[in-house]
Amino acid sequence: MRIKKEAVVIGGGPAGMSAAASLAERGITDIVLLEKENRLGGVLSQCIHDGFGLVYYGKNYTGPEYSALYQEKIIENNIECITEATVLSVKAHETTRYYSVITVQVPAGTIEFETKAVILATGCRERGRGSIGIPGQRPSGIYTAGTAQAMINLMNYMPGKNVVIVGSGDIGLIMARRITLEGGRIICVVEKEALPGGLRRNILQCLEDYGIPLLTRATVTNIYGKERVTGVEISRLDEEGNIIQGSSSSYDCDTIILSVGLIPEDGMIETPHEGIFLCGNALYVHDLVDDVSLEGQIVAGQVENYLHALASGEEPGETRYAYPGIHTMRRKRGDILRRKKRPL
Amino acid sequence: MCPNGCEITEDLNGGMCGKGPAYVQNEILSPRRTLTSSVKVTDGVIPLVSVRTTETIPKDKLREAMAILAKMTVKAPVSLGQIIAADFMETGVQLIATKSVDQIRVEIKSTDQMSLE
Repeated sequence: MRIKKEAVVIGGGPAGMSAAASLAERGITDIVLLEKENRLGGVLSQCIHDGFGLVYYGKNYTGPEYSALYQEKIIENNIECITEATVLSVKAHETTRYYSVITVQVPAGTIEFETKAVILATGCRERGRGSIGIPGQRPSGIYTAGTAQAMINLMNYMPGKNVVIVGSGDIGLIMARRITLEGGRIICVVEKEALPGGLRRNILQCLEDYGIPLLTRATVTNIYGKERVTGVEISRLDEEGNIIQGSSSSYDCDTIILSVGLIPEDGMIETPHEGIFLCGNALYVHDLVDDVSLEGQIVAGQVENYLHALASGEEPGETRYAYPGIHTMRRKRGDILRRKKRPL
Repeated sequence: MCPNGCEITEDLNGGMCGKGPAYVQNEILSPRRTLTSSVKVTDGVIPLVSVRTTETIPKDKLREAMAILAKMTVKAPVSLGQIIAADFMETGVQLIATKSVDQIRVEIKSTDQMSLE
């Protein structure tokens, strides 16, 4: 038996919560939000640092505080949320065009939803060692930055004591500071490009503040250790990204943190079809959660148009992705919410 | 470079929000940072509550602050915004919880009658 909905929001992080709240505010209330964890908030629950809401609210919130703003909207709007719900597949409806069928795993079994609109707000997964192909042994002590963040901030575990961080994206920088504050030692951050990838404020407040070395045009080319990491080999790279022979040095460490990229979590889409809207990091990796919240509102507007068209028997048109409209961000207008001041 | 990412020049121009000159002055004379970390929770549904200082504290107090936090525990339930320490390290700044933590509820179910003869 399928449960019928006007819209289903997949993901209860900032993107999903913003989209769901906006839908409800527009009078679209026959909706449900599905979240795989046992609580809402997504990655914000583990981002206990500040810097959230500076652009949109003019305030400096920590991740959990920002999340609470939207959890409040969910409650105010009486939006039905099912937690511990993992979406297994999103398929095009067998007979009715524009509709989707969503299969969800819950502790008691599986549920099927039949819905007109699907908002995919599932965020990203992290790239691991395999996808960047670091050779060497396979000891324990190698974690992606988000995993390390969850270990420290949610589970009260330190990933290790002497850490090498691969990648200078924001999450790696944030973890450099976090681990240092909790008594760990960051040996260095290695970045394969010529310039660091994270926001300038994070370079300052996470590396420079703590005297943590940043090696650019360098990468880990070997991992040592049988059961646990004992060290790494770091080599320099030339302008084409090739390893410079003879430039390698070894460093002792017991932990490696990988901050080497995020991949949108969209594997539950069998084949892309009409009626799916992407929102948040599942669409593209955003620098600021403020932009994600704005995007949630825009997507809700697109869903409203979509449902309107279906109700009046019109053709909704291409609706596979959500492209934000023209709006002001900081000083500039942009048609996609993107980082400014990034060198080419 | 300010926390928001604006480049502020020697003549204190270039900031977007107007707080630039004050920030630069502090950075040179007495740099300050917001402290965000976590504190152990007892009787809670999760083991930690994330905390923050409501305003910046002197940067050179961060290490000592972390040592103090490492020894602290808070008893659940904790509510978002709850004051954990009123005048944290005598900086005049509050340490508050940034999320809520429910108390673990223990249900006592009825047991079958047992004969003790």
